[in-house]
Amino acid sequence: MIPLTPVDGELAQVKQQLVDTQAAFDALASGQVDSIAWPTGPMLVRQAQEALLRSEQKFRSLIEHLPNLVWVHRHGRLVYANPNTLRSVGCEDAAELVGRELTDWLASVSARDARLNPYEVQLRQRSGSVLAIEATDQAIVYDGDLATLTVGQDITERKRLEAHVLIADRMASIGMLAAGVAHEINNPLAFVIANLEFVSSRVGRWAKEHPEQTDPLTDTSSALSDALQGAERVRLIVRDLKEFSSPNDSQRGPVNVIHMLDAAANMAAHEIRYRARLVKDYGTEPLTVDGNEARLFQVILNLLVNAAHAIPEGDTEANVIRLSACQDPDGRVRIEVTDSGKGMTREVQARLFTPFFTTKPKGFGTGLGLSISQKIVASHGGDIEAESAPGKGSTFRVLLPSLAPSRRVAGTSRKVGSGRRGRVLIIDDEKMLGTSLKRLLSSEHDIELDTSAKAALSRLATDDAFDVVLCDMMMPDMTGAQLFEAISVSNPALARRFVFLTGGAFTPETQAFLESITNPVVGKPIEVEQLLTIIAGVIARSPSPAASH
Amino acid sequence: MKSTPKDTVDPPMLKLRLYVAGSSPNSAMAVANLKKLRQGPLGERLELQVVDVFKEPERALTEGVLVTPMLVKLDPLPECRILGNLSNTEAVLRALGFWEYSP
Repeated sequence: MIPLTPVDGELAQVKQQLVDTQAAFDALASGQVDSIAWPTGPMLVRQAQEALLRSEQKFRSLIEHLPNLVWVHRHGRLVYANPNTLRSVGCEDAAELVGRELTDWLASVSARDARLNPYEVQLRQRSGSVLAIEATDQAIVYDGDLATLTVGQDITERKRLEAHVLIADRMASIGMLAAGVAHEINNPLAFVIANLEFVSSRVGRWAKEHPEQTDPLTDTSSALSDALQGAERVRLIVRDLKEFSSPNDSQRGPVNVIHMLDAAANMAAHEIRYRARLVKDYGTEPLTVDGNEARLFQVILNLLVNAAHAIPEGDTEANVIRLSACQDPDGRVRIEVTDSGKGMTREVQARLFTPFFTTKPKGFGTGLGLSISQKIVASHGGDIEAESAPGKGSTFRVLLPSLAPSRRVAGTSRKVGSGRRGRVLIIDDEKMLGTSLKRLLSSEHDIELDTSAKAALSRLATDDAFDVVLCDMMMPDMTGAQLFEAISVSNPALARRFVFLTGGAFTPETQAFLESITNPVVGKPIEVEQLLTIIAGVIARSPSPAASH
Repeated sequence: MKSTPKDTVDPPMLKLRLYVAGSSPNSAMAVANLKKLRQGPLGERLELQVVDVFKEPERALTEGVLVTPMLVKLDPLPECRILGNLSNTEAVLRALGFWEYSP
């Protein structure tokens, strides 16, 4: 310990030491000194200076290479700023900032409690953009005087990321919700459509039989046809929703590109409607790629929505969004989305696929769409490219390895004549759906109805004379798969005449089951024409068990 | 910082000790300047000891040598210390107690 008030003798000694030290400094300053005392022994002044310089450089380089922003200020004016701070502001030279007011480039986010550390400030860059900085203040002695040392960290990216995680989270919840809602709507929608079709056909027949009542019947008929059209639109929306929110990412298979483009166009219709005309430039020629339909759908939907957002609302006549698809000469499927929108500068194009880069106003774009799209396309072994010029619109091109069209994808469009009248068993736990299907199909076939798989199983044990068994997949006491397996053992010939009805939102087991069988699968809501075609196909394929009954 | 008292001789001798840092420029200059003094009026009365702090670092430490070159007048007392290369002869002589000397 050093006594603060030395006794007399010691005081004289301390005074002498101070005088000596003062003299040593004077001599040093005059340049007449060769060596100085050092803890390790005498040292040449030149070496000591070099050591000091090295030590100073060591600390300076520490501060200058810190990833943080470091600055020192006194009375609101900048005294020192490290290179990272200068870079962030956009200064070439420290002299541009030192001595100037901090408020020239810093703004408080809110009125701040001086004791609060860390706090957030906004740093205004020369380029005009603003960085969010998390800063911590500390009082120090700098250059012999009291000053404030601020150490800051750029948290702009972190804040943006946090915001986007929230959005992504919300999107995921909406997706799950959509899948659930789509599933729930399917069954009631199925019997709405089925009953409308039934009534519609009855009214048609009535009109033929009673030509004297044509007028009121025509009105009824057109009202029914309007209702059917509306229901059909709901069916398409539900189908697209299911497609979009498919939870299974790893699920891959042949994807009907035309069908997928139609679905994406329907989904984007709302965004496009008030901005441009949508021109679909692809034939009915099947185009097939191998991949995950939901994810590829997401890519196309995203490109369509982007195209729409490049065009201001209002002038739909002057603007066009063209969705085209064709087979490339090099064996790839080429999908293009072209818009007549405002186009993109070279700088924007360079950053297109960068995560979080967006030109849309705050709250509209996450800046993730294209970067996710690029990842999806790459995972399919494909490429995504863009062509654009300001004022000339943009074209986004997706190239995917094509797959020869498979029987299963193209098969349902096969036209089969209505053929002979068959005997059909419908198994569905949704009684209203069963009865409406029965009503619809009765004109063509003889229909029996069971509302549980167990009931059907006991019926089929004594009576297997059905040309076709229409079987729902998801039923409470026994699933369609379980029933099918039981029948496959006891009556393989009958098992081959099963046609499955599914409401979507598959469990992995259901998915695996449907992939393992060759029987036709019909999605709900059911299109009657499609179902009749499939029933006729099954009847035509097999000998007539009902006839032998 | 203690003086090293020696037996006083008559006529009084001037006992000096010069601390140097090897043959560094200022040290060499200090030695040369002292030799010049010896050739002058001080002549015979000067007893000079040269200590190289690099050769005797311990001594430099114990004898409180903060910087070199440093000249210490050991005798006659009071002890007096002069820092630098001793190029200002007049100031050196004055510090050593020779007020009226002029070259």
